[in-house]
Amino acid sequence: MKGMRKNIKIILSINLLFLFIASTTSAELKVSHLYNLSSFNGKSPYNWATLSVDAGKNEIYVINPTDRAVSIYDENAMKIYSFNDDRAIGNIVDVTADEDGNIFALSYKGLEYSVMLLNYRGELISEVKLKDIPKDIQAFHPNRIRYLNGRLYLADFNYLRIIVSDKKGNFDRVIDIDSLLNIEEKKRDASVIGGFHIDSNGNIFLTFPVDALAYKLSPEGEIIAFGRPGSAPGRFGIVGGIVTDDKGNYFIVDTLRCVVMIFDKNHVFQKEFGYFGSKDGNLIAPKDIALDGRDRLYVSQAGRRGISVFKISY
Amino acid sequence: MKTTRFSLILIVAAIMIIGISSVSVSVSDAFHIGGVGRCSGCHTMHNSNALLEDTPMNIETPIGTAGPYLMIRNTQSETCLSCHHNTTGVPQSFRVSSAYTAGVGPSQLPPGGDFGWLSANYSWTAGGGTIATTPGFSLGHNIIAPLVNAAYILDGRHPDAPGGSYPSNKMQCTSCHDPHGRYRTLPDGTEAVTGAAIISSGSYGATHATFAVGAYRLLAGEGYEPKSTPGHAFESRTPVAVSPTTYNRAETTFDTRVAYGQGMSEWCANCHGGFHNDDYPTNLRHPAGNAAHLTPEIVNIYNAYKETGDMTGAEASSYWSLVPFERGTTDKAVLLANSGITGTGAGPTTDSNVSCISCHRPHASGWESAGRWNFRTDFTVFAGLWPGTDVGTSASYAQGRTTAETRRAYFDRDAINYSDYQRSFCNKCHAKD
Repeated sequence: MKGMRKNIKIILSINLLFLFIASTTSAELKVSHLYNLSSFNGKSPYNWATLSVDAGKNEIYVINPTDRAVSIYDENAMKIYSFNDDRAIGNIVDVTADEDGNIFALSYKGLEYSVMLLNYRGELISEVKLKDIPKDIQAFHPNRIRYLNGRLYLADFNYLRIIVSDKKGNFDRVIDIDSLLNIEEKKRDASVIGGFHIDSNGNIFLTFPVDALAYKLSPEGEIIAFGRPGSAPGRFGIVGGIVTDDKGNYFIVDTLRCVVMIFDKNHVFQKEFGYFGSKDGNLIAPKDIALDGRDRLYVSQAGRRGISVFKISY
Repeated sequence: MKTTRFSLILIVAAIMIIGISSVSVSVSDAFHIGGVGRCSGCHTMHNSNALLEDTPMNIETPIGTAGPYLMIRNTQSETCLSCHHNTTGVPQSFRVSSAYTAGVGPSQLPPGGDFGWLSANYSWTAGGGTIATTPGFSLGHNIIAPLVNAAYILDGRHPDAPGGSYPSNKMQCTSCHDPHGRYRTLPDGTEAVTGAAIISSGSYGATHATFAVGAYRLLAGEGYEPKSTPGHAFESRTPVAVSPTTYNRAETTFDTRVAYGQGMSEWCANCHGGFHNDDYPTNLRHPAGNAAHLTPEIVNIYNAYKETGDMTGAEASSYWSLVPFERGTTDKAVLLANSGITGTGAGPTTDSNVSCISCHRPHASGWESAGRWNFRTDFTVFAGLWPGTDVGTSASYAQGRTTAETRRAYFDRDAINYSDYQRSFCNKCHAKD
């Protein structure tokens, strides 16, 4: 009995120690609004633009859904360049950059997609034709493209597949999210991806807005899911973009609740920021999110409020 | 022994910590599933403080005061479009709204249409040098959600519903769709707002012997009168239809066949009653309704019509989703057999009837009055191409659109499917070409 009481005390102490560590992490992470992405005409008034970051140069790519032009903003959040204003590259839905500054653009003509290799000025170098795609992958309409360590990742949010190829388009593998998550047939139609991110270790992060879940898929095949629906802080309303930092913290956008939620690497909710409103730092229906190499978060939103930039301090 | 016991203690402690931090690993249910979703998805009770911040959920109103009808957002449509608006640029499932890209159109292709067309504004030089226009607000139902899309604002032309009195300044998603999904089909086939729990969506052909299934597309039925719009209670029940489970898609290869059964025109008449007529030639307006059965002549024309100048078609393959009809039945098994995306092409019979949605899309389209095709042209296809300002078509046929936009307005069909000089698609039933 005495021994058991002593063991329980040890367990409780260890738990308290972990909780203390967690709460210490929470207190250290601060978020502050800096500004909005702007040009010489003032704040850029995008409505739900798509974001991609060149972490090496700390430049942010913004794809405007109304004209599919791609604008590049520097680390001071000022627009420095744009391309595809004439849609010479087609309807660009996403871009990603490699370590040499080349840009891979995911573009559509009608419903036919292409991956275009562009130089840093957005000028076409060549089309990257995907080769040896398995014949049983019939319907594939990727929504996002990401580059990591010599590999291109094309994600289809509807058919829940990610095709991986090398930079020349040679097929590497397909990641069948549908099979991995074993989604029930009756829920399949509503299970679409909201947010997609790959970290430097090759972990894939997804959000499923209708299911109110976020997932981490490791290269080793481990699947971690977390999230609970609701309207309280830390609960998932309609989740969208997701991104992680190098400390394993998750930043998840909630379009309905108009916040960005922060979870630590153990999926413990830390805090959220934004909120519906018209002041600086507020967010109107945020959708996409990106993080550069200087701990700056970029959040795209509706209401023609463009892209808000936040600084994370640890 | 002590070391082992300590290791066990650490393991137990770790398990307890993980148990605190991780939550659910199963895929939870979708939001509506034929009925009402979780209340917190759209409502906030008190607009209370957020954790660690002295900031309410809706900062536009004070703490303790929620949005209208305790909604999280300030309009119903903005709440719905948090989920139903697409930003990926590719057709995606249940999305019915997207950004309009000039020269291309919006990206979603659900049978009801993409509200993004409301952003399109076309002008061209017509005969005699006059300027003709198609303003965006004429392309569909003008839901009010300016934060989602600057074009989602009050109808610039009609203060009330055409053929009715529903006020345009109340136009929201919830004007047609019951956000709480109360309308249901009971096991005996009748429609009610209670009587049995809703077990699944009723949009895909489901029925149940014991429980209820939801109304098609969560449409609102008889007696629907939300607090936001008093005095315009619906008089007709919801329509019966069965959609394929994949419906937001290009129709390049095969049509998306929603099998409409009955009741759509009666339902539209909840707001547009002045246009309803199922008793032609009395009440001189185009027939539409359960009693507006296709005559043998019209059935023969529809089934034979392939394109302008070609009447060699057959019933087995005559169906066009561009010109759909109601089957004239509420039997979901029959409708389920008719719906699909792989060329279920059987045409109408004399039991079928013409409906409002034979010519119009319920949300919006690339054509005026949310038409399924361009009502305002002689030639739908010209010189083998979808008309466009970029392919040399005359302005009166291109009407300010590029060929890609025209193609998108026809759900990415290829012009080669029709005559090189295809006339209006009214001719699918009337063959005056």
